[in-house]
Amino acid sequence: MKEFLISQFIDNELDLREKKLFVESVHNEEEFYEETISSIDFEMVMKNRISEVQTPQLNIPKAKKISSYKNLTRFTQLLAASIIIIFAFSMFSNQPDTQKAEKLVNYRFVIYKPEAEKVEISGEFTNWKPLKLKKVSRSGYWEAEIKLKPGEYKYFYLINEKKVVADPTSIYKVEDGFGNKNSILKVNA
Amino acid sequence: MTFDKFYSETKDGFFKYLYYLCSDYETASDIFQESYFRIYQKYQDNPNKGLLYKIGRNAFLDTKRKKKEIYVEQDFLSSFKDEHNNVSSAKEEDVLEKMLAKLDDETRHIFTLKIINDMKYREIAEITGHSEANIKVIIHRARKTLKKHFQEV
Repeated sequence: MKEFLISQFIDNELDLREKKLFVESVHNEEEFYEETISSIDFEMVMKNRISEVQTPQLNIPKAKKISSYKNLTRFTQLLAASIIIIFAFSMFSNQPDTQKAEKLVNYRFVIYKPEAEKVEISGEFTNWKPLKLKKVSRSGYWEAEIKLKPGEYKYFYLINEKKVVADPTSIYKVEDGFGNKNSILKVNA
Repeated sequence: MTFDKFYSETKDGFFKYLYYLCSDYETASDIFQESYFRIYQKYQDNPNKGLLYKIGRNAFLDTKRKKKEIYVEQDFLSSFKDEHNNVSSAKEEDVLEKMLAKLDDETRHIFTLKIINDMKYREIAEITGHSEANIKVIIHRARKTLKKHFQEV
């Protein structure tokens, strides 16, 4: 137990009581004193060996400010995963917002989930915020109409706030890095 | 704190940390980019150091899982042994890196935060999810292990 004191001493993590014990030990025990001195020497050796590494330049695309949202647990992962994908595959293609003056296209998303209590869609066009789909009477279909600028978007459906599914009607899919698939939608001008 | 200020205050320490965690400049640079990018995307109004290190740590684990072969296990241990015979010609600046590579992943992570970034036990506990008491023990053991290796060389 007492030998931890040496490490704590080096790290400035001793409380008063421990300080007293430490000083007493150094004073009274030859072995403890030797161990302390050699540990400090070794720490100096290590500190001297920390090489100067050059920090690389950060290269963040000037994206539009995205507001964070509170419900983080599950979506943080999905969002993070999506961001890696966006980052890795299309560092610059995720900014359809920068092209102003492009006309909006009404796009209708439809999915058949008769057993679901709630269906949401989440994608780049919603800043990955889930957006509720409307149930189409009792047909089992859910739909939402979203205005989109021309561009390419990744998205997925969220069933009962839990299950992530790619759009079964779209053949373009990409791994999100967490074992789920995102669909890709291309909106032409 | 603004993102720019946060970035300029944390970048050097954070990169050093990644560099020693990954033992590889390229990988560290990739994770560096990715981590700040995520912070920028989601927390740019309220960036947080602990979170940055957590993100970096997770990205490191992901990368490691994806390309296991590159890392420590074979490369570093064997190269360390080779240089054992010829220490004086070994590259001086790599010694610490190679020493740290002797530690297991979790210990190296924790010890890197201590020795490279000089964080308090409390901060390290926050980032890694261990208790402070546990951090104290891990750091102490890491020192002991390293010292032993160092004396052997």
